[in-house]
Amino acid sequence: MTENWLAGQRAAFAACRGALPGAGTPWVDALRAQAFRQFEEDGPPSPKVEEWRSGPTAALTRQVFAPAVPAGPHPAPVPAPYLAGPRHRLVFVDGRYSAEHSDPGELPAGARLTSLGALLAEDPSAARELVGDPEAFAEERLSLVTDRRPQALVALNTALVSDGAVLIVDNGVALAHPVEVVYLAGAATVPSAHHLRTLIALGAGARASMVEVHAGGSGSVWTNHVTEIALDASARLEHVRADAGTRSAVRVDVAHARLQAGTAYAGFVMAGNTGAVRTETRLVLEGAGADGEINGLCLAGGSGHIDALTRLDHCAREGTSRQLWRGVFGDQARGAFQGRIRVLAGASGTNAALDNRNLLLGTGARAESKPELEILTDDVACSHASATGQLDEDALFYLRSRGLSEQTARAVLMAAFTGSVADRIADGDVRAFVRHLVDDRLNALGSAAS
Amino acid sequence: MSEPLLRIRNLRASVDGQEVLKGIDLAVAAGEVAAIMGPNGSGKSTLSNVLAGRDGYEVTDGEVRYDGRDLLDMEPEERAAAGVFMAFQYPVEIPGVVNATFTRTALNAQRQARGESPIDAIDFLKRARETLGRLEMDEAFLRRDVNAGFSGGEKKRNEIFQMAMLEPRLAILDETDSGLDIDALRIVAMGVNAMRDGRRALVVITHYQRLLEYVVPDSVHVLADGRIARSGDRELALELERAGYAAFQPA
Ligand SMILES: Nc1ncnc2c1ncn2[C@@H]1O[C@H](COP(=O)(O)OP(=O)(O)OP(=O)(O)O)[C@@H](O)[C@H]1O
Ligand SMILES: [Mg+2]
Repeated sequence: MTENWLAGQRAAFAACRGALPGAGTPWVDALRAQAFRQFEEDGPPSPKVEEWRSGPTAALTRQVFAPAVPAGPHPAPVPAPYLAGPRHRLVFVDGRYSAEHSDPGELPAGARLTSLGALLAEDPSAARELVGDPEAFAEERLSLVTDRRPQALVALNTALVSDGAVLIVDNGVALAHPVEVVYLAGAATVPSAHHLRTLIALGAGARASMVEVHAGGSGSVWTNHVTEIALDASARLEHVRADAGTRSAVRVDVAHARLQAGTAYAGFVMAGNTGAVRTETRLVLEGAGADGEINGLCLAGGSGHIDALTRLDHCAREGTSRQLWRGVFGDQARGAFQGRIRVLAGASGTNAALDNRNLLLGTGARAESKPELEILTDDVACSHASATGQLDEDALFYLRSRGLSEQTARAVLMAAFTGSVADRIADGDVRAFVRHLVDDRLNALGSAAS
Repeated sequence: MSEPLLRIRNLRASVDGQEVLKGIDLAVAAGEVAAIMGPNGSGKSTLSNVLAGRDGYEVTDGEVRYDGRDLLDMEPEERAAAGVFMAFQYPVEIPGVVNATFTRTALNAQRQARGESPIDAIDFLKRARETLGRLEMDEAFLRRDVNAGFSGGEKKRNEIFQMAMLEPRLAILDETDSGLDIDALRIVAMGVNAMRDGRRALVVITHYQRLLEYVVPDSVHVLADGRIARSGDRELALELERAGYAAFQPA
């Protein structure tokens, strides 16, 4: 099975490498070749790899997803803008930038919003600074074992990436409006892979807000999305990654952020694909006094599967981090949350909090929660809480005894359970958009569950 | 005499296989205030919960007719829309649900079920403010989450606030006076008396004569060991205050 899958990736790489963006640029070709070799050595993730124990590895290898080159023959209608107010919008269709559907608008001087394809064509040296060496994503465990396998799909992404959004903001520049990036997948009927890479680099003191939305797809689509983020001293980024009615078979979504001194990263994940999702967020607080926040909602019904992993590495003193995750699982859906907080020697004065709660609708759904603290220094305040349960029967009866129908009462309680997470999004338009997505998703789960 | 608004006949109900209500007979007419008193564990809350339609109670015998309908056959929300309201002995905290939103949603759900038009946010707020004013409650209660972090007395007052907003035809108050200070008791009693318009019926469950000084009952019933052991007028409440329930305890 795995052999077959690997052979499929090999064939795909051989077939499309010459046509991928940056082909012919020596460092790009070398990087892709190195990344592919690395991927071949590590193989697709399996449950034997600790970080993928509850990941959608079976769904991933059940079909031999090959890159869709060129764009697939089943275009999906391009959705209207998600954010109500002014925005800078980039649309990617089947893994490639669509100038026709994009509307980047006016950016302030010192801010650059483009596609990876364009950057590689126009300014490859700028791209070179932003794209990480796949080797560098390796997992370093408490046991001091360094394992590359958890990041095998990042390596494959590096080898096969077709496009993605790039936001580069110079020192001190602030974007007044959020950036809306739409990754739209067509309703492919043959197994298709989209390898997307978003790059965000904010200079010292820069500020921006970016929303990445996944839409479309089908049971034959695998989206493999990596977002690399570098925040220079005191930069602030609000970063939302969301499913807007995505129907992909598998969506893998990895964000790696490096936070320098005094930076603030406020991340939010809304996972609500109808298929399987693996969402990963790794924040490395490299500079003193950095603040990392990563909150998420995992909302699955049917036979959906959402596997969320976070890892916060506190490497410098006085760092703060918060994680607030809520999962709602109906029907036969499965959820898993692994949240790791690691406080390295020297990161004194760290304050880290993690709170994960899951709600199961009905008896067929399952969820597991695994917070992990690795604390290698004194003088830290770390807290974690996790719980999984059903809707509170007393609260349901209370609401019904006041006249709410059972379905409305359930919806009210589900909204209350998830509401505090979306409330933390600072940008009003972004918050409104996310709330709308969450309401839609909960409605679908609620009406299926009652 | 016309049919009472609520008629309970030989009601038997069990919890976890154990019989708690052992043949209740009780009639409450429109306009009547009926007080139910009785020792701890005698089944008062069980009776209220069965009337409000809570799950987990198995009715094994008897019937309950409300306004000509079979009450036990109705869902809790249908009962609410038909005018049945229960003030909980232990109101539930619902973090994340704003009191004002909840109360308006409840009111409009009931109105919709009765085929009435919804009340808009502005009219609702106006009425809610007036009602809070009468109950001497701070407007901040509207913005807070339902009962979350409320003191015991505040929760009870919030029940009365909801009752006043929902204007039920049959209100069952399960120990709404417990845990109230003297001023709060007076205010709650006033809220209850405001409901007495000759058409509504009230079932007031209490341990104390004090509430009944403010809310003067038309009838008093002693619920002991799952049965109505005695019925009388307000004099019975005074007698109980003096003599306790010793005469009603199972041997
Ligand atoms: N959900 C339940 N599970 C188990 N036992 C129950 C349950 N509900 C009620 N009971 C039992 O039924 C009996 C009657 O309880 P109920 O709450 O109706 O009493 P009460 O008259 O309201 O008492 P109090 O004056 O203390 O409020 C008690 O013995 C109680 O333990
Ligand atoms: Mg009781």
